[in-house]
Amino acid sequence: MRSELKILSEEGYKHLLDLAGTKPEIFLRGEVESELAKADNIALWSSERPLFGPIDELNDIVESGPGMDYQHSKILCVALGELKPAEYSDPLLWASLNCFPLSRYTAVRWKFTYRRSKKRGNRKVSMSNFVLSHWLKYDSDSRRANASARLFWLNELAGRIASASQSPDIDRVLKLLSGNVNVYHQMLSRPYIMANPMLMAKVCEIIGKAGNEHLKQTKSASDFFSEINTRGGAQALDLMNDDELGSLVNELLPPKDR
Amino acid sequence: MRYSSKRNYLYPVLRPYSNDYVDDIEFKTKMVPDVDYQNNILILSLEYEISASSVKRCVQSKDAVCAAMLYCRTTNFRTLLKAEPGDSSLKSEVPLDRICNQIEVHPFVIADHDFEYCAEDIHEEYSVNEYRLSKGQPLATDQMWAFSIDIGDPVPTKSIFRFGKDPQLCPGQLKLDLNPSNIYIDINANPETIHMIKSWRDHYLKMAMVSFYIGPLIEALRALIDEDEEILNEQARGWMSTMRSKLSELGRLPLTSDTDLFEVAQELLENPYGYVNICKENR
Repeated sequence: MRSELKILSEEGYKHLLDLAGTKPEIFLRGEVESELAKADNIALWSSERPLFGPIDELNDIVESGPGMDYQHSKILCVALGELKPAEYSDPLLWASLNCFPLSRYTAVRWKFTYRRSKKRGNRKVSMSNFVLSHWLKYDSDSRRANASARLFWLNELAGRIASASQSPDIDRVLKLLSGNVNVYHQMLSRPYIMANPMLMAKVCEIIGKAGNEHLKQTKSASDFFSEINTRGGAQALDLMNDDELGSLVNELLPPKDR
Repeated sequence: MRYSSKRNYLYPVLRPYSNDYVDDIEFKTKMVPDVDYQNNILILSLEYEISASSVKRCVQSKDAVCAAMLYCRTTNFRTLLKAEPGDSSLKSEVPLDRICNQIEVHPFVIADHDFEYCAEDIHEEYSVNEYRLSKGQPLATDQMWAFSIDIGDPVPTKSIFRFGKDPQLCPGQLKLDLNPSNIYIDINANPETIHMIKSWRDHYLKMAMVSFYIGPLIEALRALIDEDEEILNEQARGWMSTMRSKLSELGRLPLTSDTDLFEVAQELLENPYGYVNICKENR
């Protein structure tokens, strides 16, 4: 199966950013397309790229049950085919996916719940921020929240880790990461770690053997990866071999979470 | 050693704006980036000038190595480039399909294995001059180099401009620096004017294009025409490489004295943003 994915123009993307501020609810209801029909003075699209698989399946799967990220990730990556780094670094690609062919997936997978707090502000602001982070934004802070980008990166990281592992099995790594959201979310928010497949492979190898109890809590995982980042700031970890990285990871791994 | 907030490391590291070593000792790097479009590679050449005898000795004895971290801000691609052991220059090739637009290069000298570092000419605050360094720890770091490259993917032409502050200039005055080994066209202005430019650029992009970018771009293009074509091809590898594919797409190469530079500059600036005839009507 082959179809086309329309890619937003800069102007179209900016219009969506405005809509996220003024009418965030249309994203949650999957009404972006009908809203955009009213904006006939804007050049919404810049190009098209082919899709190589039935991406709509994701909408149906997520509506019939929660499913697993690794399954969703595979469906998305088959549909997208091979992406160049310049392509997967483009927020317009991910926004085009989240708002159109995957609008139902995004809305169901990321249900908005309002919890009043100083940080979240009022309901409208909170909803806008929620829409921005899951539908539209794509940078090192929002990579792990962007609905389709995080699925792509799950598969991409698994591939990189598997190729740097001593026993490369991409499906095993994919399932391991998918079952350890804390781990792969922390990797995604730290470009320094993402860029070192050997280090990521070593982390996966050790948590694969020791179980996920060490990094079960978000804070433990965050502290652990922060420690690695800090160490990387004072020492070029890229020079380290497999054993040296193993010692480093074991040294910094926190005790088991309760 | 007494604690000092100016010190980032527990041992002396040669770097800018630090007095870990005595005053006249420096670490400088020179970098020339080049893009080989035929083979799809970025070629980086770095020269390391180290005046600290102890650091220099470590490089020569292969305890330490000249290296650089290349990081692409767009794709998050990062790789460690290493010079040949004992060498104080580095030449490396990076595949263009891994990077896009904004590139950073962080040069440093790092320990190539664990060894005892005997530092000389260090600040008197250091009570000892022997340190055990682990593999990967830096002995010297320089400021990062940053540049943009055009790899045929959409690159905003405005990324070839870089604004700098020069308090000596009058308000509204722009000083243009065309350094052919530099990727950027440097536009200098006094701090108030820079502030105004930035605020205009953020809110009135179209106006900023006409007011600030088009003049310097015309001057940059004129400088290219004034050069002999042979020299131009050699010298143009800096900021010209960023524009090359766009000029080519526009059918504007080669530029000659008959070329309407205003029109070329207009086309260059409007293409990435889709502005049509920004001010042709107002000429």
